Amino acid sequence: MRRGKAPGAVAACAAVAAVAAVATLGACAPRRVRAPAASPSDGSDVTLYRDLALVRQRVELDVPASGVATVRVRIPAGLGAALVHALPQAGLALVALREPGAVRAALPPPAPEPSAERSDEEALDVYRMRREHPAEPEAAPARERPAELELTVRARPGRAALWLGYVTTRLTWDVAYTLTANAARDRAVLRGAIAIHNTTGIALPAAKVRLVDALLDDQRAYAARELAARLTAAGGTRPAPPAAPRELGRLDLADGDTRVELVQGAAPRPMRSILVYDPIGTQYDRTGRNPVMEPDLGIEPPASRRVDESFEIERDPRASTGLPAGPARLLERRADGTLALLGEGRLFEATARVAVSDTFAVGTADRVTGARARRELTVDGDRQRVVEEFVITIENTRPRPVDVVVREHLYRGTNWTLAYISVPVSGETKEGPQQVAPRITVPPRSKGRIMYAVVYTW
Amino acid sequence: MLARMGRTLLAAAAVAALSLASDAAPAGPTPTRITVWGQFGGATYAGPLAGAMITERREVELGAGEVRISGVAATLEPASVQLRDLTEPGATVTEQRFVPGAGTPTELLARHVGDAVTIVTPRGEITGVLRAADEQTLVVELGQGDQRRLSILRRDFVQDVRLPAGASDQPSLVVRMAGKKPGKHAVELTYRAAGLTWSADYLAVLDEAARTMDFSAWATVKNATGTSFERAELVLASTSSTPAAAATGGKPAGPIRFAVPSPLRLAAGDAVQVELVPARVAAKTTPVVTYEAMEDPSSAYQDSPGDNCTELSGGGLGGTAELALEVAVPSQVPLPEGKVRVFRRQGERLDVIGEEDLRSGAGFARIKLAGDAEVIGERKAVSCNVDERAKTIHERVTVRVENRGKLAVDVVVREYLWRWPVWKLEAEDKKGLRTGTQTQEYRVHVPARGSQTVTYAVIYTW
Repeated sequence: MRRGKAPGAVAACAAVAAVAAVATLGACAPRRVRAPAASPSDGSDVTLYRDLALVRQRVELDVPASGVATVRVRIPAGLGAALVHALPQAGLALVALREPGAVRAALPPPAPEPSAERSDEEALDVYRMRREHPAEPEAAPARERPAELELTVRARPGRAALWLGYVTTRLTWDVAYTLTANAARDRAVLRGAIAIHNTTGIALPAAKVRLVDALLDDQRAYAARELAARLTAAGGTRPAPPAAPRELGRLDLADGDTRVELVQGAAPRPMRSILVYDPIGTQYDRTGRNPVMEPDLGIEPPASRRVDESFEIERDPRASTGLPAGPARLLERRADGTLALLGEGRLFEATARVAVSDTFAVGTADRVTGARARRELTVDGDRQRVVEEFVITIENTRPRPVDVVVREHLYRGTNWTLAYISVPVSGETKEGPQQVAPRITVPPRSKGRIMYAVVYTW
Repeated sequence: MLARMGRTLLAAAAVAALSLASDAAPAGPTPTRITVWGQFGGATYAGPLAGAMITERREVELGAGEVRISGVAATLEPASVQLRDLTEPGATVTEQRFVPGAGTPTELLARHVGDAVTIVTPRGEITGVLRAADEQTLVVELGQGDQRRLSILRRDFVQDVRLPAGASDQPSLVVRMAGKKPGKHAVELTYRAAGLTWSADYLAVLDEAARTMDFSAWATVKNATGTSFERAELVLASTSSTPAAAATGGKPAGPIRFAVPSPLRLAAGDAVQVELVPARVAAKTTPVVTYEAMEDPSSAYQDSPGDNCTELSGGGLGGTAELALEVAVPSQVPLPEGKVRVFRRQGERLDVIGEEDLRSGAGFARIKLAGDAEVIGERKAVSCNVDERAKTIHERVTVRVENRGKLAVDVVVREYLWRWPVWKLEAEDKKGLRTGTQTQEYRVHVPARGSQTVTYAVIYTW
């Protein structure tokens, strides 16, 4: 109220001024605020990460003939002056960025109190310590309402714009997909939508929005390594991005939820029935460069023997680039037009980001089982490598042959090579950074085997 | 009701402030000079550890009674107050008292115990002398003589409390001055106060295509003194030593000071960001690789010298190499410690590159990008002699850096003179630059698949 920023506060000050006009004038009048409170107009841009959002908020202002303008700007709740930066630009200088009410008054150091249990010397020590190490000014508690900053800018008279940059946790999102199969179950159409939850308390109209399905820290580490590699022209493998960005276009991110179609006009994709044997899953994936040496990793408890009856749907690489991971439902549109749920799964997970197809489990396969056995584990510290060899056995007691996708996870670390595999593989066999999916056709009433050896290095 | 009562109290306090302002008002447009101390690492200067020194001019009425200077910082340290009479330099302060401000409704009321007040209740107004106040009740003395009685009122029953004009609830300094000239005097008041702090942080936006950088340095000043300063001339001081200390034979130099170019309004509770040095826009950058043979061990040797010559004497490959970008900055002293947020601009987009500690020296800032695997190094103390009687350590150190990459690189070898804060270089085969209290840097150009060696001799004395 003393700084009189909000209209209510100004009104209250005016009432007080009736009693003591001179005294309150200095304290309550909004000072040097020549432009009205500016809302971020079009031109803001937002990059949504899995955990945070990076916002470049555009602020427009009118600079009077004096060349100095003050404008008030609302920024997301939870942020303050110390967490927001004005991005430098030619011809415009930020004189001050002020956040009123950001700190609470510090208490003066308390006088030493006489204590029966404490000698005078000890009490004085405590007093000196408090004097010499006063408590930091206490930050006001994180506010649920947007903060208001007052920017004082020096620029040429006329219309000017500046950008504020900050990171917020209050722009979150989630995504969901549906795949709708035709009655013949040989084609499916992908649809997806993202819901962006804006709890910043401010609206970002006509913001350019980009989505990166990765943690900001992972993307940051990649960007730093990639930039360093460019600057030094270093040889070796260029780092792979954790996720491809996807442009969502200009959106009005109003306070609340905004839902946007992610996949529009997608063409039907080929679909077929298949069996999937994925006995381990991603539960043991260790993403470090150095492999995990634990001998029983992935061996105890024993792997599942279940083989899943599934549908496999080919991806459209162009349409699916940068699509974020999310839950998906496989629906069937029957001949009478009704929809029925066939199965549920997840699409575009980081573990299967380079896969050419997705599979949806719809039930347990009848009369087909699998087994996974390790043949060898060698840790060679001198040569810095770990060799592990597995045999996957598929037993088919059906009277007809079955095609099985065997999904294996190279979970000990991210530096690995398949030294040997007993079935033909292609570039499509690799589905993700630690995931391969070789295929095998098992004749009727027989067993099929895949043997492979993986070498981890560090 | 309580809210309404609070409003009335505030209004009354404003009236009180007005009446006092005539007694001791800030002297017109004269700005308040404030030096705010920030705490940064590597401090060797024995200055104030935190807080601020505040100097302001006031006009007071010198007469027979007390002079009340209100509106001083609530965190004022009474022992630090210095009052100088500018009108009559010979005038002296004979008595001084600090009266803290009231911070809660009960404290506000307690200040007026003994004052005539008017209590407004739903049943009407009661005028009397306030005798006591606590969280639940007010006690008002009514009537006179044999009609005298105490009325006890529940606080939630009270709508307003009207206070007498002229009372102060602001933190005030009350002094008695002895002088020959009564009347208006201009005085200069200087005191130390806690609750004013500042910290530095930086912003770097890389334009990859142009290989340029926008760089800005910011100080965030927080005012928790409970008092507003309308025109504050700010000097931000950091307790890090300047590189000029090298010229004094290793003795700590004074603090680094940054003056904010124009007076600021620093209201109570404000956090204000101001530029520490003018921003650089589209400044050229220079990639360098920094090599540190070890992490800085000097903090462990501030109380006694590291006189064990076998300790950290080196040998064998090791250390850390990092790719960084350097940009020239308009500052002849190193910028204070702080985080630099690094972004990359691609077209209209920004990517986050990192948030790192800024490294800087006179005229440049260095921003780390990523680790560098192509540069390795080796540090070795080739001789080390401790003389207990002369209280000296002579040490000669060589650092060899090797570039395994395909391109030549500029390598900055960062060496920590860690054995004792007082040191002097006796010899160096390449001209080095002191960038911190116990940090020396050597810049060498290392060809592709080549190496360079730096040798220096240092003497520590204590």
